[in-house]
Amino acid sequence: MAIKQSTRFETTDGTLYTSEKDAQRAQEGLNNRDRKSFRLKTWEDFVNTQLEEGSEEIQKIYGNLKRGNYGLLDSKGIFERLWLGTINDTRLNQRLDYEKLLTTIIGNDETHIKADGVYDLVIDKGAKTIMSRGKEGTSLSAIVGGDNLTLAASPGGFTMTNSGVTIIGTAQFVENRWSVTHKEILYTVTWQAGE
Amino acid sequence: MAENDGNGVVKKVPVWITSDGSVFLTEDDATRYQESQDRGNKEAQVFRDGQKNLSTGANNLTKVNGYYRMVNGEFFGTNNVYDALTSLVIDTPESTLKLIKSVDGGG
Repeated sequence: MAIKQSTRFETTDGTLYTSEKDAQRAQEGLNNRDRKSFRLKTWEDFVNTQLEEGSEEIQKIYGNLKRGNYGLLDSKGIFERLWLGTINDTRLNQRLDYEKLLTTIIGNDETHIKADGVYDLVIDKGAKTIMSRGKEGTSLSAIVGGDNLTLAASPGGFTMTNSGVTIIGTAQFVENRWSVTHKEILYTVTWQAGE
Repeated sequence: MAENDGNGVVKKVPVWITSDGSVFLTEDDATRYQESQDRGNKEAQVFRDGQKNLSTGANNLTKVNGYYRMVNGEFFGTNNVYDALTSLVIDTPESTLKLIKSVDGGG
């Protein structure tokens, strides 16, 4: 029996669908679930970082925030201190930190990943990919479809391929994180037909 | 100052007056004070502008997320500031980013 080539549609949890529409519907559900947990974790990480590494004033503010110590009349002042604070006793200003946090959260769909650990990189409509820690100017290793791959994160971009997936894109190490942008994903499934 | 022997005469003394009416005997002192005042005024104006942008922006976003009311100190229910911040960051990050950027007149 000759080998036959066909196409399946894989959602980010690894499920294969014969119908693209079904896969897209399932993916939307996965995206909603994953987006929510990603956002929550990113936010909680942010707050914990403030509590652990912030100045004394910042630690105090976030400690009180988490304990629910700020009451009805405090909210305006708190928002102004965090997002505005440019004069006198309101000098604390974390606007840029919040901008980074929000950009990270919004950029989830653009596959931003951190470089200080192993993180899931879910590429839209593509295979689930796990990117591991790398250093600027060196290589970025990835697991695609269960296979270990190493790609060179050169300014010119990268191409990584395993038996069924080819991902073409660019990876940059910016501000302690890998920013990976895919340009094209070719995904095919091959199998040998049974007797 | 020399003691007046009874024949004192009026002497014309130059002074420098700053924009808030303060009087200085040297131009340097007046200039330093004025520059300090200008910096403070400018900073205060930037703060007021940012405050206004934050307030107006939050009001305009209350239909997107009710927690934006808290940016202006308007509470509802028993929610606290942390709940509000969490919701603004997680549920409506795009609007929150736009609001924060509007502080500088952008967004």
